[in-house]
Amino acid sequence: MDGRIADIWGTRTPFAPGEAWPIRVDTQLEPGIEESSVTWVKSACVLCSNGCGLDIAVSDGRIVGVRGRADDRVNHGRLGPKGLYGWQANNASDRLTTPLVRRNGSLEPASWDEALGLVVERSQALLAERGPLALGFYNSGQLFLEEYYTLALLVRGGIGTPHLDANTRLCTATADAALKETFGCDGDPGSIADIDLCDTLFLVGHNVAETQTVLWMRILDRLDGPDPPRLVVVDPRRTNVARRATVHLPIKSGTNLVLLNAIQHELIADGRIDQEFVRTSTVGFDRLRETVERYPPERAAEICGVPAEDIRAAARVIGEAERLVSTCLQGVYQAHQATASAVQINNVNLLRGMIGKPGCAPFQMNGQPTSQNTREAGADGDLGGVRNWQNPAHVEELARLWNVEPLAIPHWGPPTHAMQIFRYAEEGSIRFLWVIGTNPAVSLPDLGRARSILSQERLFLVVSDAFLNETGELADVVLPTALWGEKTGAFTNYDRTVHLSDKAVDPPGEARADFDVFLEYARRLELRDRDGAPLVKWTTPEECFDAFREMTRGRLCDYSGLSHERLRGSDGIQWPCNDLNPEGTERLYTDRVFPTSVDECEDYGHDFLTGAARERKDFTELAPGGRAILHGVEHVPLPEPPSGDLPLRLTTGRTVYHWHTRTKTGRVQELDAAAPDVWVELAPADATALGIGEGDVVRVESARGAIEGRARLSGIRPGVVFVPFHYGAWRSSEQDGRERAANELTLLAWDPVSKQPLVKSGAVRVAKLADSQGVPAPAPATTASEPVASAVSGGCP
Amino acid sequence: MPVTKLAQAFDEVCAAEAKLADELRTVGERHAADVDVYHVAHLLAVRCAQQLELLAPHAERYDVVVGTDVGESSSLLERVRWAASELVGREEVSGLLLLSDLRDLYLLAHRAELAWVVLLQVARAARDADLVAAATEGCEEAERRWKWVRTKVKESSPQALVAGVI
Repeated sequence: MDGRIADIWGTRTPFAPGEAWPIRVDTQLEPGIEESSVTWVKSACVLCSNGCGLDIAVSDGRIVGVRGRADDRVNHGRLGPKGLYGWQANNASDRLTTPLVRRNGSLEPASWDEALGLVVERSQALLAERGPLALGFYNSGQLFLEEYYTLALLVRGGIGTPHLDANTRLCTATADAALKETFGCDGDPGSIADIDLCDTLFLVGHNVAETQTVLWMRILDRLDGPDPPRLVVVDPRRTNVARRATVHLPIKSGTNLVLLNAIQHELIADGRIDQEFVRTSTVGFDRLRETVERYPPERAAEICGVPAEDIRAAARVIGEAERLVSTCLQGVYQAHQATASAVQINNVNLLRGMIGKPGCAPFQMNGQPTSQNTREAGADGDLGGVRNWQNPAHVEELARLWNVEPLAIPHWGPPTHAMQIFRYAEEGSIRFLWVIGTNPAVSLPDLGRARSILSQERLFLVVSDAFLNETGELADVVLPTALWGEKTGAFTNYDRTVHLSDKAVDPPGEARADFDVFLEYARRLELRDRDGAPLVKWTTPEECFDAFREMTRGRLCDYSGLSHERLRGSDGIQWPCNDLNPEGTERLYTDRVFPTSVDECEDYGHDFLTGAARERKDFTELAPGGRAILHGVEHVPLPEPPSGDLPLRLTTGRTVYHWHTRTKTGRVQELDAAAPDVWVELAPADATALGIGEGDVVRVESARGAIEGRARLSGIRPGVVFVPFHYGAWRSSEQDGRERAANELTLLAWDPVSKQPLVKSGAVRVAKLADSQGVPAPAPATTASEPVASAVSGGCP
Repeated sequence: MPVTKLAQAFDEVCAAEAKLADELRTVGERHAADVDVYHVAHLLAVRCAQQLELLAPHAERYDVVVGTDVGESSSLLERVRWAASELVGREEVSGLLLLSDLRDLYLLAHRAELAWVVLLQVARAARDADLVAAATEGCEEAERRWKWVRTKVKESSPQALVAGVI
């Protein structure tokens, strides 16, 4: 292990608050390739939600490397390990190059005409026999904006089924929900430059060092510079972020809400709130105060398992902040009471009046690079242009733009969430499921059940992917698709920065861009608008972007000032970008006016305990009218608390070297070698009690399934077991009968508001199967999975 | 103060809450394949018992004993319903069965809410500020339940009644 695999964050370039973050250009080229001999094509990285600007190096029609863009506002030249090495997956030898169709039980090569013919034939037959509600579509957080928008139009405006969602349901559905609940609309208010200016960072369930390495580089450069920010970190693991914290709260997983209530209890008790801001710019304060009054630090300490004085210390640091950035990610989104907890992050900044000002912002972080666009385009559980499905005027706008009848667009309820789509497939009312650019056979909770749904005879399963993944193995038709770098499209990161990624090379063999596949599907289905003209009016990504831009005009996510041409000449532009803000908008809500009027808001909100939807009249009664909404929510017990038989709390998560289910990163030698197989992270105290040492082979068992892997004794809090979720079995060497997917164990349950599965929940037991024989766990020693000093000195790699 | 008449308001709340809690558990278990129905219904059933516990000290002041024993499903019954759900859950008819059960649940949830409204009115007329606070909380919880059922009905009825063989 060497280079930027070992040195994950690279060389420090410290800077002071308010100074420009120094430029540091990171480059990685194939051995023997000179920078001067390649052609550079402008793009941005798709291996996390940071969306770093980069150039793709092309030589002889192949991608041969990448270089960070020095002028890009997001990364100032830097790239992380996945960005530096991940492009090699494009050149992997096992790319899918022709469609596959199932004949006599096995997948065999076929022509596009035959494969798409089968997909269209089955779609038409079901539409005729069972109607549009028999069809479901499950896409990704990895496509481009133009692909999401085309898919949303053809499914919602053409086929007329509400069953369209994305795997963002597993990743950022809670970010979306929390923004809507507090501010009335999706869209993170802050700017990435707030990191340069803040004096305090409050990170909850957000292992930024591994999930967004370049953002962590920015924070590290602040930490090593003059006047560094203070960090308050909530994480049951001893992450690289926790090691730099002023206060680290390693709470029991599943108790975020209790801790956040206690912190607000202290802020209010100590008078550390901006009374004027709360009075004029928010509603709901009295209710919030009544709720958090019931959570003094002593009570929280008991439930969360951290000392009350540490909770007080954390609240003091947050209360003393003059420029506060608060963030959360999967530690909140995939955990018990997800949305209820995520909105407390918004509350903290609202109580302190720290929003819409330099250095002051709450961030509901995204996971995937383009998840923001699936939300904005309406290819997940939203309607396009952050429109409200309960608002007839919004639906009419969309219908006018698409030239269809308003009733043609399903809006009798919220767009169906992914877990419900799979449930409908299980009961048999959905008979056609198209999975696009994702791998539910590894990423869904309770995999035994997920597999039984996906392998049903009566379900026609179509899978679009660049590789034959675990889900593709179960499909009736597999369509080979182009990857990033092989197609053109735009995407948007968590601070609303829009980039264009240009096509650098042709896709291999007969692989096609998802965009082109969707166009062809719509054409063959003969989808029409209300005048009988083809429904989808565009043929190129650029034309689609122009239509999308019009669809967003006047909405909060206003792209009307953007075009492919404009983006091609830019270093990242933040929406809203329109006539009023032609250069884009660095921060939302600088005027302290929020999109919470009943006519403007994207959602009327929910009850946080049950998910009961507020209707228009309920929202009118609440009358936020431009003010942000503070929510107080009580703690309720875990759906599956640890018990005598299953005494440990399971949490699943990620490592810096892999992306999702390793479909790309597992095919990159450097990344694969850095984290080659699953491991089971235990606290030394728990391991000792179970007679387990570093590297011992252990079995982890839940009420649903079991996996095997080597134990890593790490700095995780006692009582909690961590298993990375990346590992399935697509390699022949992995098809050894040993279960290694963390989701074999996870509980099938989801947050009542965001419908995000609680994959960081559930109870397990761990038992030793075999001695390590001196072999350590295949877990990185550079990150949160670092072994404790007493275990082994090395680790792998 | 005519305490005996007033006691009826407490009794009605107890009876309605107990019945609702029982039905929430039954419906949750019968539709265990719909895991959100299972989890939310059970959470609400537990909270029915908690509501009654909060009410008990107030009732005592009027010499009324609130039965807070809203009971758990017997483990055998629960297992039988779970198993049935796993079988029926793989049939299209499960959507119709869910809708039918949700309709019944909606009526019970409304009956319980009305019982709390009556108790609130009684508390006001009795000038009992503590009871007013407790009954107000009870009304809010009662509203949460029927709103949840209403949301579930709105979401599930199209798939149950429109999808399928035309």
